[in-house]
Amino acid sequence: CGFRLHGTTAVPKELKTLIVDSSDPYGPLTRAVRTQLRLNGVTIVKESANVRKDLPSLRLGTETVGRDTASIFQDGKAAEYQLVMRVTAQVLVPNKGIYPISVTVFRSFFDNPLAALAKDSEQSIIIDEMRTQAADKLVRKLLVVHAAEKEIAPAQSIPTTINDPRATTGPGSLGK
Amino acid sequence: LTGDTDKPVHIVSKNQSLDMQGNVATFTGNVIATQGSIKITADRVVVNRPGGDSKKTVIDAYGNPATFYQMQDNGKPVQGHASKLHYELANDFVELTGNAFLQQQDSSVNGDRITYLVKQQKMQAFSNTGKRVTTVLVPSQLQNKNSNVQVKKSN
Amino acid sequence: DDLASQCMLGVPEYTRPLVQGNANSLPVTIKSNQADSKFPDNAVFSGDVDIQQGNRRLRSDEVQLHQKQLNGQTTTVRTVDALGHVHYDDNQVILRGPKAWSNLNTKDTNVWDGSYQMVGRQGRGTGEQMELRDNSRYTILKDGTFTSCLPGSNSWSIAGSEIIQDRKEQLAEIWNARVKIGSIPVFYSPYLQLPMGDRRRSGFLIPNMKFANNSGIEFMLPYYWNIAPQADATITPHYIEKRGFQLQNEFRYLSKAGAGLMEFDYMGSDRVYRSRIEDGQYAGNPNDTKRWMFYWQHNGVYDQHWRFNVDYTRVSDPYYFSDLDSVYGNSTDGYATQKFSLGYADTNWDATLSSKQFQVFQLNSTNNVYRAEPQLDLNYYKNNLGPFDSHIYAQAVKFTNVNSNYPDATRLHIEPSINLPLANSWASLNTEAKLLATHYQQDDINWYNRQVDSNNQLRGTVNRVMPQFKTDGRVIFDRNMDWSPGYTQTLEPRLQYLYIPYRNQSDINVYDSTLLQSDYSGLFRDRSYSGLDRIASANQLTTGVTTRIFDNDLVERFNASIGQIYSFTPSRTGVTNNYFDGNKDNTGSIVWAGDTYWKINDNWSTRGGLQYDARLNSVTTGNAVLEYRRDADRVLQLNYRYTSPQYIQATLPNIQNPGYQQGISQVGATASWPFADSWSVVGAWYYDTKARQPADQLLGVQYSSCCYAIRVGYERKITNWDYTRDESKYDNQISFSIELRGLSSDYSLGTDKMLRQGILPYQPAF
Repeated sequence: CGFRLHGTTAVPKELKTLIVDSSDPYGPLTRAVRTQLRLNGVTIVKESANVRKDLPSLRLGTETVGRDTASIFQDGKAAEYQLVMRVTAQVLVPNKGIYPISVTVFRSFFDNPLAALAKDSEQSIIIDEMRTQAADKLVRKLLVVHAAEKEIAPAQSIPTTINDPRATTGPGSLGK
Repeated sequence: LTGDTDKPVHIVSKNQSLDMQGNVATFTGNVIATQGSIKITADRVVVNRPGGDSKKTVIDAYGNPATFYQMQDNGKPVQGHASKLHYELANDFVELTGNAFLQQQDSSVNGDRITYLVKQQKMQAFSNTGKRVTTVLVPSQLQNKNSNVQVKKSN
Repeated sequence: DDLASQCMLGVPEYTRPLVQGNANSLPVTIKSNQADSKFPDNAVFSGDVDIQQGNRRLRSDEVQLHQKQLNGQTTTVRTVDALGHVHYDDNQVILRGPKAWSNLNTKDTNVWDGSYQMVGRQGRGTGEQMELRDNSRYTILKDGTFTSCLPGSNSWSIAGSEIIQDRKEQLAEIWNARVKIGSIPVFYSPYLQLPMGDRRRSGFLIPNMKFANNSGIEFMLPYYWNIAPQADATITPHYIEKRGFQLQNEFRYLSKAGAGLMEFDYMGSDRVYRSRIEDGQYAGNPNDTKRWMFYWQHNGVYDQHWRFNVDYTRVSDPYYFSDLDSVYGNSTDGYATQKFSLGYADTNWDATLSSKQFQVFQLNSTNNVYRAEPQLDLNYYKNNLGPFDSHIYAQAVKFTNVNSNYPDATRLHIEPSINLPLANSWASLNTEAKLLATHYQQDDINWYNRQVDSNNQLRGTVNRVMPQFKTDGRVIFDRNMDWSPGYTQTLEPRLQYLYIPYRNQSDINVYDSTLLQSDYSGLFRDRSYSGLDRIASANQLTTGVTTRIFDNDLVERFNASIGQIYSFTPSRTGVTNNYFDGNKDNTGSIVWAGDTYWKINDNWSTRGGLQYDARLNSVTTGNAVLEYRRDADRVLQLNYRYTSPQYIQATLPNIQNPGYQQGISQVGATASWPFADSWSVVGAWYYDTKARQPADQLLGVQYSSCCYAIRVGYERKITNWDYTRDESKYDNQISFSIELRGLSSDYSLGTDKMLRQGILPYQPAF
């Protein structure tokens, strides 16, 4: 049925080695993103962006988690909560540009005031899982960056050697 | 300056014509008329001395433009120009008509017709319908620095 | 947006080229039909006089110019008196009146009983005497009025014996202020301040008035206190007609250790609360009807390593959020969370010390609420040990209970694990071996043991050691889709085997464990309970497949996943109190879960999820969302949520919410649409199909004009359960609020505020 091993939707070649920087380098989101990148065969370089100017860098932005009531019991108390996690980031590709990417993850879970401590630990498990899902989506969004890049001609196009048969003979012709 | 009108009138020009009994003298060509601190330059100047009385001399100067200059007692000059200058020495009355401009201390006026009583320093400016009188007051510090004449065309 | 640009049409713009430089060095040009002057002292200009200096211009029928040489000074002081149809304007303000005076040196200008209009922004009015001072920074009005309405609309105005508008501070101060709607005075205050821009400075904010049928007229007059560049506060006296007087204080701060917000609301006595205590609806002491709420939220990372978090809410009584409106809690909350945490994180280890306790509002519970005070979590990661990565997780926590009959406990836990992550661009296989060792020290367990049967007796000290083995592999195939060119489709099968031996844990009490919900991504979890008190045995194979479709910009437009857990041996914890635990025929394919997402086009998208549990032989949970979203103001969302009653009983064993036996089946619709750039209508309707009654109905209409916005809201929601009549108790609330507009740059149609008004606030589905 035409399926072959992961090609066009894999992490693009030029983003296979990149720098990861974040305002919270040791936080859980950065750790989740680094793990996902490694699980997708991406090598993360230790040096910072201003040391290695030739490498693309993934700069993690903000992570916001919202929680709202999604359904209620007949006494008006919350039955299910919906958690929404939004993560923004930027991909900086040397002499190509900066590409903003953002991902959103939704999860819901049942609340139970009589087991508040247990529900709180359930919520933190779910939030950790949402971070892994967000990191996974961020890695997959590198594709969009790859697609967008193709449209932009590389900034300094390497001059090709001109031995175009159609060029008219004699230096004068170049002068016109 | 006070006492200018008692001074003799000197007029220099390319050529002159005199009409003795009418007491009218006409000077044409780069005419420069001076009397005390008063100085008038014009293309054509008609000096009229009714009844030979030099006190009642009336000078009509025509130029493109004709200019007028007089030093005031407070050391600040009054100067102006117009197409036609009418100067009655007796009552120190100057009338500039036609694109008239008069500058005095740190303000200048221009309009179609300006009348100026030099002694009382009273000035009136008028404009024909549709035209406007423009007065410019220059802030005094600026005025001391560059006291050049501000030429303002009325619209 | 459109309303802003329309309002700006009614505001004069400064059209002349802006003149920079010191205004005093600029010449004054006077045009007139006639000029009579007596040099150097004064002059009279008549006939359509037009005086210009720098950015300032004064026109009138006649102008008298006076020039005085102050003794000893070189500068001549020039003042002008203007008479007849005076029109003054500069790049800040336009003044009109029959008579004016201006000092050309100091730029001070007065215009008598005329009108003024701000340039480039809304704001106009009249004044017996209008004075411009300090180069048009101050506009001082004697017996003047002010409004931000555009010329021709007198919706509201404020009259004052004296009004001082400070353009630099963006503030208007009004003495003997009389607020008028049209020409009817509705409010008086000896002194009133109005902000005139977005600048952060101390002062009163725009007052707000509200009417709600269960609280009567409400009036709020917020005062903004700009304490320091990194700290500010808003103190809002809030008068509620039927209840009393409340003071809401919100303090916001920024520091190196993170940003935070503290809110303290206090009400000395609440009349409605007292009457409900007196007629037995509420438990409480009728002569102490103080009601307060304290809220503290802080998140911060200091020096990249230290992490501080606080999420603390505490209220004076359990009914607080059902009775009083607050941004930090609503009537659906069953409890208030009180959590503190201090952490340190480094490249390959982190430690977090936290304390968690909860204020539960439901009174009929047995008050069995556990607290974790303190809890220490440690993580150590060591990657690239040859091909292996390793991770050690350790925890030490002390559990105490609000009801002292229940046992307290200290739990020590260590969980070393080693895994072999193999990955390339098209596949990954992660094999992990883990050891879970836990030690419990449970105190005063006698009362509890007397309540339970013999095979669930707690023991003082319990040690539980168990290994865990997991291997999780996935492969990604993709192909170009032939029936839509440029599109790519992937097929991502995933397989996970999990083995956890059985350990009898009936001698361990439940402190922080609850059965976890398994949507598709939950299938691949290695835990079926949260916390550590219940680690169920497992010998299961989880299989799943995901397919994604990318468009020609490689944007993911569609994905669908389905998976199932196939259990070889029943999952057990030794405790036999729910369907999922120890039931011997829980083998074979026990759980199915799937979810899908489809971005139909730029505006339409849909999302859904479904879980089926063979052990309960029913669909356990399901939800679906369809949303049309053109921009923040144009939204239509339809959603449905389902949970089977068996599933609720299985996962929330001690549940007491009435009607849970029927499960959840809630269909909802939310819509918001603006009309003619100034109206915006918002509606939300949630219906419980099992109880055949609406859960929440909300309608909001806001009319925003250039200088005011009126919002009318209606909400009918379930707030409680009537135990005597055994039915849901509804509360109708009609709210009406006025906002003064045109003072700051806020021209929003209020859509997002209205959408999030109800107990089931709108969540964008994408």
